[in-house]
Amino acid sequence: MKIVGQKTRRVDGLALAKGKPVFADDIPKKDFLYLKILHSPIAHGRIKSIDKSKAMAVNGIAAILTHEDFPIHYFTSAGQGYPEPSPRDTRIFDDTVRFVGDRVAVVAGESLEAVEKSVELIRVDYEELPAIFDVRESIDNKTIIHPGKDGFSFLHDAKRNISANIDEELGNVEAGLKESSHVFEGTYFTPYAQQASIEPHITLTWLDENDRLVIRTATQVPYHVRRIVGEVLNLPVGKIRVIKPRIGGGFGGKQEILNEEVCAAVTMATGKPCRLEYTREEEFYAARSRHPQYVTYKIGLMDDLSINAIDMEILQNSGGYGPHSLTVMSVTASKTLALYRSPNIRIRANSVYTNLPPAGAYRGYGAPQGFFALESLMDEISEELQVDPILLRKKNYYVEGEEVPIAKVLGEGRDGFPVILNTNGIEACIDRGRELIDWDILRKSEKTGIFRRGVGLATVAQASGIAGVDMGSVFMKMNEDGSFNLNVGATDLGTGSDTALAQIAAEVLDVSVDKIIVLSSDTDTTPFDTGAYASSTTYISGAAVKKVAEDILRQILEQGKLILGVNEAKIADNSVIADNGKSITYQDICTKSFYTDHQKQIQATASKISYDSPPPYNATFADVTVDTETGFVKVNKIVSITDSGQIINPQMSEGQAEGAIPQSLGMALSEFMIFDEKGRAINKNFEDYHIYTSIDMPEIVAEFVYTNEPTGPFGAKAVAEIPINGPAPAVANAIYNACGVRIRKLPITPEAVLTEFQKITDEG
Amino acid sequence: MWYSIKSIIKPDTLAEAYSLQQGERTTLFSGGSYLVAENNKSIQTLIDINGVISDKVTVNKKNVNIDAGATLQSFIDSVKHTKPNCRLLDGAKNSCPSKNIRNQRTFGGEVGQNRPNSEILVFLHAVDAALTVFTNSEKTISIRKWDGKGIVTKITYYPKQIDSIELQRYSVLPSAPAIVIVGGTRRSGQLEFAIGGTANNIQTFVVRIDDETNNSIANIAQKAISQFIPDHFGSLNYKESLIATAVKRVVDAL
Repeated sequence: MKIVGQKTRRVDGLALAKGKPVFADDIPKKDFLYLKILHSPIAHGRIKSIDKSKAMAVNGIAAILTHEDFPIHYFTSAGQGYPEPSPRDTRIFDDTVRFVGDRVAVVAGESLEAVEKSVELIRVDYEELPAIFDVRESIDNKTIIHPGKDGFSFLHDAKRNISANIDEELGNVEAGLKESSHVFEGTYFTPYAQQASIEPHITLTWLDENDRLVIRTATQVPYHVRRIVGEVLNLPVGKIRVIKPRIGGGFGGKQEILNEEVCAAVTMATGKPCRLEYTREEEFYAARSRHPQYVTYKIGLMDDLSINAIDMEILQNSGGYGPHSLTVMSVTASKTLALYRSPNIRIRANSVYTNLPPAGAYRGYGAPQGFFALESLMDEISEELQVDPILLRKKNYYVEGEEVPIAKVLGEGRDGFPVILNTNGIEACIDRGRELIDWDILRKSEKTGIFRRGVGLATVAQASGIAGVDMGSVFMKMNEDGSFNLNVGATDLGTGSDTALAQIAAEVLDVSVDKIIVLSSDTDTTPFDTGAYASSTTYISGAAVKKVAEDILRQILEQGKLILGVNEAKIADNSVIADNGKSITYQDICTKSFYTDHQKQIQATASKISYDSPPPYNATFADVTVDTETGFVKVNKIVSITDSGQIINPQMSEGQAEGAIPQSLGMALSEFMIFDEKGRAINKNFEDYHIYTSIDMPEIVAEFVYTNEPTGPFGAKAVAEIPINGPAPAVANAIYNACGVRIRKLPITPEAVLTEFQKITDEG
Repeated sequence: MWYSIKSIIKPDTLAEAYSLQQGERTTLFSGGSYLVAENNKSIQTLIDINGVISDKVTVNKKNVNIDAGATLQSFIDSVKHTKPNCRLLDGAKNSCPSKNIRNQRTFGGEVGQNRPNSEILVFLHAVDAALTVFTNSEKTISIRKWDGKGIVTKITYYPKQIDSIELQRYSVLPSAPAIVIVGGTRRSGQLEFAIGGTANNIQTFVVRIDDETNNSIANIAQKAISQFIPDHFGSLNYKESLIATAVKRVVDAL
């Protein structure tokens, strides 16, 4: 291959590097109204009255909208396939608030200054209700967070505060555990964590010259935005155009219709263009985050170390609303239970409401929580049984040709589709990583002194899109200079997917990447795509691009033969070459087709829906030093080796790993959202919420092993999410190797390490 | 947006700046990096003192003089080859990891903000830096005794008087604010400590080197913890043990 598998300049790279106006907010904003949300200051309550008279009196205020201005209609803010598997428990504005930060009103005015002043002058009289902050106290609590009204749907059990539930069993787990020689159990906790995109949520809306609603927004799901805004505002989708420009990061946080419907509502109410942007602080308490989970595994092993039963329980915190609650939990189970073979598997899971901010999608989508638990427990088992942790894992992986039964049971809120592994490079990932981290030396090195060094491993899986749900489609046409317009519904959220898709098209057409002009994510001009989530773009949309490019190539050949007047010809060097030696270039074929010979536009469309979702695999190794006098942990090095099938663009794929690793290290050691006794977020800025920055980074080695997935475009599997699953459990396992401290709760704070270390010292 | 700001005034003299500073809802600024981040809506008037303070860094045999208007980055550039200043240099980098912001943030602002988790400030307390402060007139005062009033125009310290300096900093990540910072110096037969971090203020302790030194050092953490608060990164018990460890390590290094 000439282009696939090669580094290439990003198709949007120059514009980004030159600071061109490519982002949502980079347009002239003449006559725009600026919008601000009034957020609830209480965690749970009913709105008795709202007095907006003083707020409206502020000079320049155009509108203030509250629940009184909208009919009762429940929807989900989750940008997912339709019908959405998330509970429809959300109104654009409600008369009940369910977390500190819930939306109470929107104020629109001619300047941000006026709007900020006005927001402070709205007087709301609340009847405060008891609030639930501990997820373990929510089920069957006297306080019901969503008492249930007409219009609710997909909500599992409102009276018990359960937004979603999973109860599935394959085989017989109780019997499987009984017949096992060894049974191990552990419960692990992961907290709320922030996606921390550089660009906050921002939406601009206006009416075009035909009075159609235009929504320019930083989203991962333009078509879901169009559908949900249409539903909430009772507008036909044909009256709405959604444009996704460049995005400053999404990581799942923008797989949400967070404020688009509010901004659009004000435009519809006033006829004026509107702009609504969240501040960083609002991102922390009023946007979305990673679902906190308690995950319990009970694993039974036979004497030969084969796993005989896995019993899994999840208690997940949805927060005040339930977007993604079922599906995140489902991914926690389906991805972790797809790694190790077990004849008996059970999953019992509840996602429950609390009066904390609603969680949502975040890279990995439940898998990081699950793999922290599973890979920690696998390490604990190997320690307990005194077996090599790599040997234990290798003994139990599903191998090529095997069916992964859990995939059939857990789809996106419905039954899934069978997965038979065509490729599994996990052992190659381990072997390469083991070498690069100096596993055999560091693992057994002396563990004495104040500063102790250790290594840990985690092996993980993900998926390539959602089988039977995700669909990508493309339109392509040829131009007379031999360039091609590639209009894709796929959404590049900063990942470089536009470039990867251009590479796939260029490879098929045997042209350079700069001949492919990519236009993506505009619901008026690009065809349908479910959006950028679930690691689907390369695998699903990439397959659609390959298909359309092959069709274009076929048309070029046919048209070339017609123009040349021959029956047999081939394509080479951007030309159609006949057996008799006559030839015609791509440019001439297109020009003649436009103006003189056998006139037609060479163009094609293609869609791709896949019932396969081959798992990418990854082995992550961590090298850490623990200061046993203070409990501080320094990560020295992370080695991340991934099997993503054929890599389309190595540079961008390495970038995916290099971006995912700090997010997971933050999850391991420094990031968690905390709330006071009233449910108010405490750490709402980057001074108090600690993400890994460039100066905090350890040495990173990110490599790929090659497999050739037959169902993927040029053999590709997904790469976007998989590298985030491994670092946190690898660090936890490395800490154990360094100093014997096992922490089952993230983040691993210095105090937790020191306390546990002192216990070990005291005991022994 | 910062709608509360009504005016920005550029005084011609320090006296004028000081007089303006006495007004309500006013604040001084030079670089403005803290100011912008805080976005304090109770402030209506900004006093831009760049025209009345200098921005030079002078290193000579006896002392290091840092004008209040010198940015952290200009300080780093000025002293990076001067050995006794290494810890302060690191402090300037750690207190503000972004070079772009270091090009804005001034030494005077750092001192004026008086943030206990500023590594620079802990260092300056440890070396007992002298501040030149303008109230109605200019006076020189130990940083340890400054009450926060007036306009800092110059910071001076004397590396030659110090036998050795050590600073220990503990934060969850290098870029995160420190939980505990302990700075220490050895000079004239005594050990001097400055302790900051997520605390109410920076505390200093002076211990004579004699038979009681070990006991005195052992009590420092116990005394210092009174100014700390528990948070999600540590209980008071933990922080006390962290201070004790940090002090021990500083002493070992001195």
